[in-house]
Amino acid sequence: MSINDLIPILGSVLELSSIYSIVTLGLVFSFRMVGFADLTIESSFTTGAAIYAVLITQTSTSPFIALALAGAAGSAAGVCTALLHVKGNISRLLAGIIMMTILYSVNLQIMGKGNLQLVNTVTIFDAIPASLRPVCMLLLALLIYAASFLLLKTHFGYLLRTSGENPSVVEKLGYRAGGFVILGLVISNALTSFSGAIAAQYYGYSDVGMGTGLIVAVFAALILGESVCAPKSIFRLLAAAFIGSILYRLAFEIGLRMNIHPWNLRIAVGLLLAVALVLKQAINRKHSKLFVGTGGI
Amino acid sequence: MIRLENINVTFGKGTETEVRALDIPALELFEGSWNNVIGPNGSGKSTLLKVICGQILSLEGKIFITGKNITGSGASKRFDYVQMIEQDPRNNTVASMTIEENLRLYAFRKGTPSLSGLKSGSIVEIRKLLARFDMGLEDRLHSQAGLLSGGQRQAVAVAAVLLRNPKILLLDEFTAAIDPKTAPRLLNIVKQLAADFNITVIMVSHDLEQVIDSGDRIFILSSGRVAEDISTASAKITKAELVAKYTHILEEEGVL
Repeated sequence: MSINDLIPILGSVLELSSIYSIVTLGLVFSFRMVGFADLTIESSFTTGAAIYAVLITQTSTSPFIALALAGAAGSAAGVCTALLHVKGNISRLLAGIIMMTILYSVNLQIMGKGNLQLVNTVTIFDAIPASLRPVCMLLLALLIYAASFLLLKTHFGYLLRTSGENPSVVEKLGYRAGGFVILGLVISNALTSFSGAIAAQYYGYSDVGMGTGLIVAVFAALILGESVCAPKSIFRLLAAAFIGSILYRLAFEIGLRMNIHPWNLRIAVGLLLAVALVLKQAINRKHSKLFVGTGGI
Repeated sequence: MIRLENINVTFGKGTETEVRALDIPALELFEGSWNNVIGPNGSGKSTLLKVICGQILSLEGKIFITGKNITGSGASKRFDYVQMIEQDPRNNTVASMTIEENLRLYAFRKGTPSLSGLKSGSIVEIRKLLARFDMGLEDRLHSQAGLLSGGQRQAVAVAAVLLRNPKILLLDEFTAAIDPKTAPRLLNIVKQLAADFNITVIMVSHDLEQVIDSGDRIFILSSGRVAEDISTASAKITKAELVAKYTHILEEEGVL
């Protein structure tokens, strides 16, 4: 394989990992901030793609507005999951599973069929030459990461972070921890849906199954990132999420090129997550106190 | 400063397990005073603190703070003048946050823009405050709280709550999880700080030595009632006397 073959591969790795890094960032909000391993994202990713695809193919909505609306739909899904837990006292895991299941049907309703093609449609990158698209996607992702970093440095961010790790301190400070769980999932699912819409744009279709397996993939990415960059601070946590997204995509790409049979890809992903978890414990145990959800993960 | 009138807290009202947790006809604590509370398990010590900080609102009677009736206002409304430090350091500070972040978390105030509680200039003040604990905390602002010892972590909690300028500080066995060498040192510093900032303190403790050495009053609670109210401001009580009184109460209650 020559260097000329490598450039397009690296371009697609960069673009795809930038797209999925936004879901990993969502996981930071749901899992590392408010302590919610939220399965909703498996479906809210698709919801974003579905809404985007329908708006683009059946209306004359601008792709930017379609992306925003996709994000908004995701945040609504986040509210539902959070309310099931906070108000309905359903466990976090089950609340996520319930919403994931419900959204599957909702997604089919939105699209009207299982798959919607987006051939020759407008995209947000139309003004940019194709060769620069990966860089633009990278910049967009970094912009969202930067905004999240600033958000997490505000009072709201501090409380959001505390609500998952130590709800009693939030209550002591005179706030309700449940409110922050809702907001955490709103942000997380909005990011996930937004990412789903961009993914639809990238792949050129929206498919009802496109979010399947996403939770394991982003967990693998986050843990992988944390094992190479111990999350001792908010900055390092976000850096870990981003680096992990790239490493995960690289590993995936290498797997594909090593001619792993597609049937066996999930074995590879599962093993990767297991290895990353073991690695992370070995590396991090000594020198840092990690964020919420450290019990094994 | 704090005045309780006909306070009555009953748990499990109307059920078989009904318990009168607190029954205080009248109690007044003076501004800037240090008040110790001792008593056997279930005597109402923690209930008293929770009533004052607003965590328990279903009660009969009235609570006044500086003459104002605050009986109905919840913990979130009292947060600006009442602060509590719990026994377990993990309940007071956030492990993954650095010392500085923990202080910022507490220093923020509702309704004020972000970070206003702790502008860059005030970092000098923060360092000064932390330096008073003599634990080297002022040089470890970027250490995560979870990596500190129990004593250091409680010191951070004290510094954090002081940033909110409380009028009342409730200490619920806050040195119980700390080694016996550090505990008295931390207590002494908190005493100095409380005196400097004119804070009214209520300290629940099981350590009679601590109680004798500090403060203006000792309350012995028993079955929700104030069984003894001993003023130690002018005349210190000896340990033998206190032990005798405490033992007597424990015997009456059938604990001994």
